[in-house]
Amino acid sequence: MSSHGVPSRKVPQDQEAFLAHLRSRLTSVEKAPHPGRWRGRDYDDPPAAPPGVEPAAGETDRLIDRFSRELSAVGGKATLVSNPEDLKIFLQALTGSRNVRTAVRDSHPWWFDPSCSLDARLPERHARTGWLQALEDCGLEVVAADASRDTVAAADIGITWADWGIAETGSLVLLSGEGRSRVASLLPPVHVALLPAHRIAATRAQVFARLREHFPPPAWPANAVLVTGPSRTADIENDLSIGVHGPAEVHVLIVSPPGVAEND
Amino acid sequence: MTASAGSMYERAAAAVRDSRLGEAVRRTTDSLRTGRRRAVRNMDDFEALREHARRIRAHTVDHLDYYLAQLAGRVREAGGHVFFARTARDAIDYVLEVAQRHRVRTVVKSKSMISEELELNAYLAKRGIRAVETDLGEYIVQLGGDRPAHLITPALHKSRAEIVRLFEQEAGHPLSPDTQSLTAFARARLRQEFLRADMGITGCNFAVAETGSICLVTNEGNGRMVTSLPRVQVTLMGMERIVPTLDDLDVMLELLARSATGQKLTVYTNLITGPRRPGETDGPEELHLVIVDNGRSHLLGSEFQEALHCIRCGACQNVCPVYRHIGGHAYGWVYGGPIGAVITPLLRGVPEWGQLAEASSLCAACTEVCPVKIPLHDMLIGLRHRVREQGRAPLLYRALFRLWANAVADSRRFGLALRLWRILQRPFVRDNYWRWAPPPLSRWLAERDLPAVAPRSFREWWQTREAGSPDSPSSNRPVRSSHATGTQHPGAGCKSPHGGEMHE
Ligand code: SF4
Repeated sequence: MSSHGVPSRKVPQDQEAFLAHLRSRLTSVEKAPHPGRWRGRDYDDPPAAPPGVEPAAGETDRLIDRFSRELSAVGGKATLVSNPEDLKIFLQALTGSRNVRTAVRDSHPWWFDPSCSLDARLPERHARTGWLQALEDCGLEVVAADASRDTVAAADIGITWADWGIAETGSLVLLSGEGRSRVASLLPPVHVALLPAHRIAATRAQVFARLREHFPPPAWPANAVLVTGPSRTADIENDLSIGVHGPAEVHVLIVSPPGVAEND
Repeated sequence: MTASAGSMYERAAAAVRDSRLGEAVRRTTDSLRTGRRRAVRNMDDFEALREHARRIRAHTVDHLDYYLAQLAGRVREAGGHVFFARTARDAIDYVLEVAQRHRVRTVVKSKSMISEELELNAYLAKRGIRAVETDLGEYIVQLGGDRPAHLITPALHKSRAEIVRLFEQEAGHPLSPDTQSLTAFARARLRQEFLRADMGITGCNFAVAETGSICLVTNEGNGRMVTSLPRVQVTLMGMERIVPTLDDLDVMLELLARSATGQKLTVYTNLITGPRRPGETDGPEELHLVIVDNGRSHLLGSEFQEALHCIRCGACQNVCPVYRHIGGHAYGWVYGGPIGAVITPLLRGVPEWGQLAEASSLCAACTEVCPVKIPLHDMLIGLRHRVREQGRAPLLYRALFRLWANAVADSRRFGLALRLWRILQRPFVRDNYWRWAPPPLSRWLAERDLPAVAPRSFREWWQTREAGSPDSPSSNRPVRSSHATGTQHPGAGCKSPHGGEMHE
């Protein structure tokens, strides 16, 4: 990490020679212009209304509906929840029928600040909120994923927040950052994600546009992963198999309406 | 590991004889191409999207020096290291040096065709470093001491029985042969490797110049493992695998999974931008991006530049009648199918590898499915041309084609040639087809149907018709064969379904 945050001003020799060679090969080429953005795409339509403004009637419902359909088409499951009590009940139902003991959770800021604002930072002292209480009360042994890698690897369930949802593909968008474990959503065989309904965007392009707006490089997160259903492979005689390296189950709890959590 | 180039025909012939292989290749490619067809059928605008993607790729490759410089700057800003490798040797040395500096013992790899190009695993092994492939297909291929046979499903040539045998050798005990059990074994085994490895090596589906991100797509999740758990990450990237912006990435993602497997999006689409940041508990502490030329720059500024537009979706392999018969290994190097037949000679040398351009029926199915509209079959013709220019064609070929060129250049000469041919073919023809021929033509005939020249050519028929005696089309001579003077059918190597009775 020695070079962290220190952009190198000088262009190294290997780069200079390499690019000069490419330039010389390309001199005689008639250069094609960039075609711009694809006209068939929604880039900017913000799916959520600005704070304090009611979203257009039906818009959020439409996105929730599309998201849920796409997710189930790829083998995931979406469930609507409206408060921490629902999370507790969900986890109890999920674990009730099987021999499941341990879970890990990430330390996403939204556990502590359920306003689910993108600018939420980890609070100095972690406030005990209803969401965390739900984890305490659900009967599972839940530890924070920043504990140790082996704990995460041994856990039966990984519980995280998702920063965005993408309706057109049923994808979750998970960003790295302080407290946001990359492996909590990856190592355990079951992934449960909380997704605020107002953070479901219609298209991937919209999410990219908003990411760019919030994190202009070099503030860009070290990791942004789009998760679309459970892990799968067809590498053995073209026979589909679920859960090869990543989770075999993906449950998305869509938190709607947003802000309900604050009253808890 | 590198098969000799001289034996493509032998490898292809062996592959054709292997009926189990043919079965396996067809099953998987059928399923993939059906998936693709379904995935694109309901997209209005799919053609416009392909054209848009083509233009993005053309612009990017035309300005490759610019975007690579931007990318390198962004990656360094994010705390990563960038190395530009002109040759395979440069790339290998760099990776070995990083590995040695960190005293790496075990490397986990997610799928990287370029590391196959470099034969990196062998070099790591020489230094006592274990490299473990973690894509399930690649893992199977590695256990079998084999090479990937397809861009998307590298182990499509392996039967369940073979996989069971390989896994049981690894496990040291018998395993149940159902897919779930086999997958579970690989999951458990590779999980240990992920947790233990000191270094992760990945390929790169797309680099994004705008943000300095490496985009990795996997369905299994191994791409995330390899970039989340080990201390050091090394990403190998063919220099052309770059897009200018996130919006361009969005377009490519829209096409890649659909064209490859028929999915709307791959399960994990991972954007990695520099090493882990302060306060983060996982992700690599050090990240290296190695940008590799290894012969690619020969294509820049040439008539084959567009071959660098490829996004390695495998769609052209799935529809190629030749690939479907012979599989990936017969192509002799890392890349099979139409794209392999184009780039292998260009990256490794036309004199030695030019014969790969013959591994095509020129039916253009590849060009039709290519999401970035690379004119693959035109390129194959171009390559054949190059091969001929370099005087590689057998003498007999050249003599025959000179004769042919002479005959068709003039209608009188053509008529004469036809009449002559009719007389010459007499001893060999029955029911409108050649039944046998003296060597070396016999070899050619063994796998193809050669229609006879019709007793009357279209032109002759037309002239009599003009003269006022229209011929009845119900005459027992099919008009079809009057055109087909020795034209090769699509799907060379297989019997034409119209070929009448079969003969060996
Ligand atoms: S040439 Fe086109 S179809 Fe073939 S792998 Fe590349 S992008 Fe896909």
